[in-house]
Amino acid sequence: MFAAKSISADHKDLIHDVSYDFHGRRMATCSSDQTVKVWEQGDDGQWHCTASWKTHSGSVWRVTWAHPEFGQVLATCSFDRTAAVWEKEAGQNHWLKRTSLVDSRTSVTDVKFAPKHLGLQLATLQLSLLEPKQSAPSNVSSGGKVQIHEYSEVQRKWNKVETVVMVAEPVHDVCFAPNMGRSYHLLAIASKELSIISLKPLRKDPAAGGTGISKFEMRQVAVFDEHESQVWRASWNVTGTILASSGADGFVRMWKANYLDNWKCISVLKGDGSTGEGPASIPQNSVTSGAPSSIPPNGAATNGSGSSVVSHEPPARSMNIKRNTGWPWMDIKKDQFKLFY
Amino acid sequence: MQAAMHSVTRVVQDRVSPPSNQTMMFNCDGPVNAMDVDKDMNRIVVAGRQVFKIISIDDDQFTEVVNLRVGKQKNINLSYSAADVAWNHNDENMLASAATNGAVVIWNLGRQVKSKQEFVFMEHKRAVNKVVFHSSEQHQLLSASQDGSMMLHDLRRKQVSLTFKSNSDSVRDVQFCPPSHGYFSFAAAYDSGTVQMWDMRRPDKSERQFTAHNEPVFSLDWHPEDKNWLATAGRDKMIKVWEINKQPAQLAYSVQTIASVGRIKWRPQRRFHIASCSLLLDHSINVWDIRRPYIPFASFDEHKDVATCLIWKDEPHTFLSTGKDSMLIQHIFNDAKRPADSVIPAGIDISIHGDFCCAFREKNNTTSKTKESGSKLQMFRRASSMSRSEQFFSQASSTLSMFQYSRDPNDLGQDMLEFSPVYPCPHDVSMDNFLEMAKNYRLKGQTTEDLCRHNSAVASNIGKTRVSHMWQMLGAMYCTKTITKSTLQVPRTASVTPNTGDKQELDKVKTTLVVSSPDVEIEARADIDKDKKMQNGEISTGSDDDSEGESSEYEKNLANIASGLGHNGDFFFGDGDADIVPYSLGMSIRGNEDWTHLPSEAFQPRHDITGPTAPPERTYATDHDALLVATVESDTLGMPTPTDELELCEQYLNLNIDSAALLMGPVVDFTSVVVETIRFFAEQGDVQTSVSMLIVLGDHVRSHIEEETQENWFLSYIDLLSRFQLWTIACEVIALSHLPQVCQMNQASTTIYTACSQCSRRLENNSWVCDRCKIVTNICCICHHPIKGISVWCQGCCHGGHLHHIQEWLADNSLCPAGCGHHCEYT
Repeated sequence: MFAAKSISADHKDLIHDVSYDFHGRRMATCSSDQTVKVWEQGDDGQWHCTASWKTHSGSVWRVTWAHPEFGQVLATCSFDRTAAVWEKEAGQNHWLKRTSLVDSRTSVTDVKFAPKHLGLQLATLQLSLLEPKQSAPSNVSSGGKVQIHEYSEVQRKWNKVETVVMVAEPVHDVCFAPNMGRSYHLLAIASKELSIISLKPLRKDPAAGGTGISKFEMRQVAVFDEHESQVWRASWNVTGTILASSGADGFVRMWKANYLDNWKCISVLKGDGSTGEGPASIPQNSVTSGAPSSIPPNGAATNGSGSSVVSHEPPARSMNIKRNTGWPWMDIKKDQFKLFY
Repeated sequence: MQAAMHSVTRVVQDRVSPPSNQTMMFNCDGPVNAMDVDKDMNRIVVAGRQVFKIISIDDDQFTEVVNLRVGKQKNINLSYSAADVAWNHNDENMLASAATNGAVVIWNLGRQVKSKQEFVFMEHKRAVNKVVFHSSEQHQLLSASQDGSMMLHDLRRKQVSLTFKSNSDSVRDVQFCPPSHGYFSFAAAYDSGTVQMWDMRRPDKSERQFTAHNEPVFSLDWHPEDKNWLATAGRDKMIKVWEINKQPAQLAYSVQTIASVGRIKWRPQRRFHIASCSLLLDHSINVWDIRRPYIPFASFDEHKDVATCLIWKDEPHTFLSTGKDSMLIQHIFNDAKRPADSVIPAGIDISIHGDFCCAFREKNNTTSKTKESGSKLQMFRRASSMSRSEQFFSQASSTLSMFQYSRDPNDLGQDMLEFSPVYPCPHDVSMDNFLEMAKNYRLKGQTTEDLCRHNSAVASNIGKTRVSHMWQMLGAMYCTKTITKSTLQVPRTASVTPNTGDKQELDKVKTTLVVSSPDVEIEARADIDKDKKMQNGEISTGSDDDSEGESSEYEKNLANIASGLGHNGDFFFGDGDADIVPYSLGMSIRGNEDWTHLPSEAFQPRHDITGPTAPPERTYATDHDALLVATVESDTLGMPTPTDELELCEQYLNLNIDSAALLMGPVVDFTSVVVETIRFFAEQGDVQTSVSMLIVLGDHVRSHIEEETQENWFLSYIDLLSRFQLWTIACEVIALSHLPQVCQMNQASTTIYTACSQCSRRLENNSWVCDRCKIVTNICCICHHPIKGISVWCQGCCHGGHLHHIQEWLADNSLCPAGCGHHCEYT
């Protein structure tokens, strides 16, 4: 069972994102008050704020952790049209701004680190940061549709391979489930409804070689409108078996598939941790009628799952995870101050 | 000049169907720096480098009335290019403009000649940034210039009456105090970030001053109602509201915007609202509620370039703006974007342990509370807009909640149980099971059977019945006892297994029982049915197709044999609980179960299977099987497979034939169904089970699964283990993997490079002696002896020593013992 505990976040405005780090020891929150706070779980199980600092000159939309292989690194993106990368100084609770990406001409609404193997692949750049949203507004038609993009190493660019046509409403969040050796990918889309899309890579035509765009068999596994209004965020657990979604109705719902691949709600939790029964009596809280087309889908899914990488050779199954050269990779000069796990 | 060539009246219509107020646009044919309206808000003067026009405001359109940039081409000098413009509040014909050449130009619209220029003051030495008329003294014009001075011009005498000098600091903005608050006061903003209050009667010295910003202040605005509030804004992207009645002036509110702020203007009748436009980058005009300084209350995006000037139309729902994009726009509040409505007010994330954290917008119905704090102006507000702004303000906070998972409510602690709500949830949300299994699984060191038995016990301990049973079945299938007693099968097996090359492999092959696929299915089902008489969909799923796909010729042979024996019987092994029921696929599983509690297993076990069972205990349901057993010897010996393997097998068979059990099970090839099961677990996201089974079964199934898939599973599992910081287990898995790509993970990055502690040079050939310094490198800083054994060293300064020496040292000191001054960290 779940026990809810309210934390006094002391953010001065809305909190837009929470994010656990790789090992679940730390958590970061970001807010419209332009700050990011990092929380750590003490030995007593309580969460303490260990760092709080002003990151941007606008609302901070999202915060995300890099793989700890690269050190304690956070990325944030903001209304102020920049994305920033922050690194914790070893032994101190200072977070230093490592870079600020100012390419965008509009609000940067999402930021994600590439999967670890891509990061190491681009080790010369320190971090490979993929910002799907920065380019997305131009090529996404009004109303949020979700597009799946794939990186072609031969062409050295991202190609659109798929458009999710099932979703017509503006999309607030997309989230790939950790692959965990499945032969398919699960994509959760938080829109007006919560949809789960399964993408099964189809066997590639060997004649096409590595240049061909991989095809996916797309299937809508589940659609849920239990939130009755907008679904804001969705998040998978570490094995990709449980999906949690938070909606404008103020509830968190957890979803799970049974062995027959039927997705069902397994738990409904009142989001603010207060005692409240039943979602029926919750007043609708100013759900925007004007669809926020300003929030483009980050479906330009350069997302976390390794699916987006295509290898040179025509693979027997097109799902080919690129390998790095090995375990944490160390350059004595460059990395000597970094904390490795 | 292009602008001059335009006809005097020009109509640009924005929208045709008009309510009284609507968004209107007008193209001024050139970037506009400034504008002002006459006292009745009927006409606008817009001014820029190449624009100087009077435009009338009609109900539904802007109409150009006068173009002041007229005359012969050569006469149009810099005086016609205005940085700022002001309309006299009392004389509707009088305008003043500020030019970049330091001129302050007075225009008289009443002049009958084409050129309306009346007089030019050339007192300022550098560009004039701002001109402003006194609100009631119609002949007093104040100008502020880059040269650091402000001049009060007397328009009747046509001369400068007063000069206010700052300390050589460019004046960016100057504003008279609203007449109700002070007749003689004005405030000036400077490049240095200083704001000064002046009294016109004391031109020698400013009344007071304070540093408002660290960078140039571009704009300031007196609050129209509260005489103690002054807003300033500047290049530091800040809008600040000062309480100037305090000494020193106190910062009451501040708003951080995303770009340098060029102009600010309080919204009339809204105490806390202020509009801003930026100097560069941001093209929108934002209206902020200073009580919620992070998200604009409203945003207007009509301009295609930065807006330069904005003026409210004396009521809070309409304002005019001009921009570098040449446009003059009348904005209506109804058309505003509400950025706060489009933000995502919720965040959620699941930690790897299954706890999750979520942030939600706080829903407090504070309308009544905020009503009290509102000003008396509330009576002017329309109900709808009030609720809007109050709602905006009240939504500005989030709650952050942790949802901690616990199987046992008592773990949560008493206080949590008492004070916080508890939600039921299935157990598999947590990753505890995963950890338990990862830690306790045995993957090597014993026979397959023992490993399976152990792992089965591990799984059943934590309630993973399905996994537990699967392990048990695997143990039974690949039981070594079976092999020794089922050597009768060996020849057949060997003959049909193409990759058996030698005797050694033959031993392994012996463990493989071969039978045609339908029987396999039956076998698997039977075992389950024994428990619950319920068909577990998973095992039969697709096994028909796949095993057929994988079956090769020899399997067909076997199928023939099997069918000849009448394999439609049911084979059992186990406790001999041979109650055979007809199976119906997937029956009763999809019943009307309460879905809020997903069953973690497809079926409920009636009792545990007590360990793997040996073939002698097998019972046979049909007589045909006995027939098979009886004939098996001749069958196998007579099988015409002229291979070496067969010969080997026959030899082996002969050796062991005595020990062969009398009752032999049918020839069963579990491999395809086992492979299917392993795949099934992976598809379900349980890569742990897949990988563990893969390792334990080893060669039995390895060749039947694509290497890429296996690799993918291994990498996923290893990644998962490292997320839980189970490094040892991860390494064990890596080591046990037979995939070269995975095994290599343990071999990469195993080199440790050392550097000389004196010269920081990397030691290439000899890791003990530095070539350059000619010294032995690993000398303890404390005892100065070479270190053998455990040592620590600081990666920052390369100094270190014996572990106990350093420990002693660090007990009293924080700096490096070598005296290099480094704050050593031993991590």
